[in-house]
Amino acid sequence: MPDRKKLTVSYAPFWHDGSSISTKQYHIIAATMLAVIAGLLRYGAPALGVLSLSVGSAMVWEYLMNLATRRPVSIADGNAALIGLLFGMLLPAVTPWWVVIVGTLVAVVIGKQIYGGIGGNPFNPVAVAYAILMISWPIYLDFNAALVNYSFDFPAAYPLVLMNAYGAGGIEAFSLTDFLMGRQTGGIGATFGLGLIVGGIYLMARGFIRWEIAVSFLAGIFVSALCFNLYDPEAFASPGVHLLTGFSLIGAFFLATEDSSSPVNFIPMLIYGALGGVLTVLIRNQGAHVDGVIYAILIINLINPIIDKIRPKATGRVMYHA
Amino acid sequence: MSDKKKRKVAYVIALVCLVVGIVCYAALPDRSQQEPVRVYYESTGENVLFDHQSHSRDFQLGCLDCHHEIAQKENGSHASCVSCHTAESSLVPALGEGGLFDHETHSQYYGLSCTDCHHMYDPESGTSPQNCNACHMETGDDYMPGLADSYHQQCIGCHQDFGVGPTMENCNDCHGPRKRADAFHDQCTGCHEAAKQGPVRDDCMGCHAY
Repeated sequence: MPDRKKLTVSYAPFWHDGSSISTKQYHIIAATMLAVIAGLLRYGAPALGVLSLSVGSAMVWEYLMNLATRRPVSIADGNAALIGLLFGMLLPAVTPWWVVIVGTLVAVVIGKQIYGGIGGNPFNPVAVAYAILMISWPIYLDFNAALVNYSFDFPAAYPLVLMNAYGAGGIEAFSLTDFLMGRQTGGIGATFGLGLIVGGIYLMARGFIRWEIAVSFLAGIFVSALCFNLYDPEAFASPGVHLLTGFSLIGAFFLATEDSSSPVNFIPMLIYGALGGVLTVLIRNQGAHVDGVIYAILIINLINPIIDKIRPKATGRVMYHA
Repeated sequence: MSDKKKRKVAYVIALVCLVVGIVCYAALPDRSQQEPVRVYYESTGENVLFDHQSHSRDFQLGCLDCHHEIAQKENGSHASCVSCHTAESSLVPALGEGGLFDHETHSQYYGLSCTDCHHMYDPESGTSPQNCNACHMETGDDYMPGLADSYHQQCIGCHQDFGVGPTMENCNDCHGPRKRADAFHDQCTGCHEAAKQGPVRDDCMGCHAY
């Protein structure tokens, strides 16, 4: 009787970027640094506290789960650190410590470890954690409420809230350059558009993330926002605004592209990304929530196994029980 | 680098991150200042982000210009925002340009301060955002319209304009099948008679044929 476990693999095609798991995680962490540093410069020590606690606690949860499940210690692969970092980047600079700890607990334990660890999670762990916190304690993730004691040299209201309340006219005080240069309130590492774009391009060029997903996600946002904008320019903001505000860029480059919860085939990747972008704009313009990126990513995670079935038929003879 | 060494490095990184995080939270002072930069009021309508600093610095308002209760040592409310944000003023957007609620009527004619409705939510004290039915009771009087009248006279127009929530075309949204008849007999017929349109009380057979 052959040992079947040795031959159990997922569907083709197999994508290998030529590096180990840990190398990939550390490169993604490196790609976030421009946005992270910009956030630290903007918000100072409180932001450093949130990010540090998020990374550290995520690694501790990973370690504790390794011990509890009697599996090899995996915190050296960098995935837990990356989850903690991305989660911290989405948070306001002033976030209670226990919210950070609970968030990383949800991300690492519920979002990842209960599915068997890295590669097994059907949803992006960061998106799972953020969505659960957003439902449980929305006031702590409300950027307008969290950042009331910061003085800025730009309008301090969260742009997506202004868009939601006043339409395109609400953000007239901003320019696209403002958004690109991080002159907007938001998550610690989610506001510096230029840094996120540079990081995303680096990851795509090196093959650490799939360009098909990131580009189609952004294209989905652009096209759907353009349709809304053409329909009613006063009520709905321009595509550029949608692309550069909220979690659009960090979602496209760092969340939607997570390996385990995204497709591997070409056409499914395009559908997956584009659908995420369209859902993001739909939720923003028609839904009750201010930003739609997190829920959009969870929804496309949900349909990922279905759309990934769109793949070329295998050629040649298939051997069962070989 | 061996796996064992990688793990050791990871332990150190985790420990350093935890220490830095704890130090930042515990040792550094809270950013809250004596004079708030902004104040965030939660409400059942749109939440309000009040730019306290710009009102005091840019518009050179003194504390007592708004906080009368400090001078009078009374438990009064803040000055009404419409003392500056009048309908004709360029500052109107602060009240919500094209907003969903007639701020002008409620503030100018009924003398309500913004904070009368836009309370800061405080879970400990139980202070919560004001609902319409805190003032508009089930039955009204000469000074205070009842809840249903308020809705039909005031709210429904905006719901209609924005195409959300209950509208005139969808009485059933509020008045379910059983209550629809009661609503009509008790409430709607008065307006129908005033407008001389649609079924009225004198014309029972208009609806109840047999």
